Amino acid sequence: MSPDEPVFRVRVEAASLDDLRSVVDELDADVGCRGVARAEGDGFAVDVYLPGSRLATSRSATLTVVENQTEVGLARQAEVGRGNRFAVRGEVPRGLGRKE
Amino acid sequence: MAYLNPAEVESALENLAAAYPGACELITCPNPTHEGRTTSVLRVGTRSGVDGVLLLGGVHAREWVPPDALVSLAADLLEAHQLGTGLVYGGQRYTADEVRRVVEDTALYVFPCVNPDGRAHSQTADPLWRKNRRPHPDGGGCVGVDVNRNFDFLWDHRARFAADSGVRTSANPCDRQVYRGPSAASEPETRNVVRLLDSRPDVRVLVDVHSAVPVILHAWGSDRNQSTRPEQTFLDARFDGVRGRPNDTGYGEYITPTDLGTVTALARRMRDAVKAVRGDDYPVEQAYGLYPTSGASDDHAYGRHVADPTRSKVFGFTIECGHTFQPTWAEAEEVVREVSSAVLALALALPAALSGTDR
Repeated sequence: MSPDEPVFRVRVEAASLDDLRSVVDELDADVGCRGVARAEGDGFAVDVYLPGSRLATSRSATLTVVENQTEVGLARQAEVGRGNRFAVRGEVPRGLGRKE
Repeated sequence: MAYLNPAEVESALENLAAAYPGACELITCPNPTHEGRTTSVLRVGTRSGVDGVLLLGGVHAREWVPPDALVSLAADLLEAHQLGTGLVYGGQRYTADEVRRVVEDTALYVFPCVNPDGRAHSQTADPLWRKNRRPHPDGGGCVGVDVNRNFDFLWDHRARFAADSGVRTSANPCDRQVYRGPSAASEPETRNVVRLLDSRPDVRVLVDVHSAVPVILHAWGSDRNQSTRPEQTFLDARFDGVRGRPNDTGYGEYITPTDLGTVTALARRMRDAVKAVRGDDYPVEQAYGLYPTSGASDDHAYGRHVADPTRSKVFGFTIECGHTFQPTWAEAEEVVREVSSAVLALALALPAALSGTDR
């Protein structure tokens, strides 16, 4: 079962950390793992995840939709292994580092 | 190639253990998940009595890259050690002697998929699923606990933080993202991590690999760090009303200058090692950022010796790798290389970093 409503990744930019916190609180947004803000231009930014019905505008911040995260995730499910590539004991995984 | 599913992660560890019996050990976790899955940890290292690093992946289900990164790292180290070669990740090169030192002078406890139930759900049903799959207590539709809010560190946020702190956790079982669970360490996934810390006192560093920002986080996550008021710690209930509040001077989480120097130096080594792969920048920051956090693995690990001085000191880090939860597999491979490079740099820096600290 897929989620009922698409979730969007949205970049929130504000002039100060207090403004950023205020907007994210107002949106009641999913901030990902830990809610890490980064300096961006003269202000700060954080990526949040919002269902389409809660996409909003703000007077104290700029909100930019980055992508439809649900759509991306559903597409990526095609890139998950099927079955078990290591079901046979002799199938030993190899890492991505070059051995030299 | 493609992302590993949970069954593949477990089989990969079993096959590595079988292929390299002299250099690793498979540890079966004692607590099956709510859906009955058993998870494993691969201890990579030829010697006992050396300092250990516990590497966690897949705590948050929707963050697909970390489990693949940790399996790849374990496979790389074991193969390169057996062949006597070095390892190259993009522009970062580790010599054969450095690989030997990591495998022979440290122990890496690789726990790639802490939350396999959640990963299975995210990879087959709801891609943005974050929590485990704990059934709702009353049989309702609200499923799951955020494993990284379930550790015993200021877990009871309503009692331990200022009401206006904005701490990112919830006591509501229907919170889709950050439900903390019915009690601290209520979840089998959490208890499996705690069991490792309890039973392996050689573990001196925990790295919980998440995604995405990117950033490398170090202690503490509960409030801003300070090194002048040792009485201000998470143990002291006198500060419960002010803890976590932004922009105040009423409370800061105490960290010794030596420890702050150690975690900062180790985090910077990881940042430099990431940057050398393909130029991406993972800034080093304190985990207390926009908001405080409670019940997280990194703070639990580092707080254990504060709560009980008989326990080993475990420095806690969180790597938020890459720029998105589920990149294309081609991009994921690059992030795997970045995480691998970071962990190798950390392991190589460990002996010198720990020599100046108390245990």
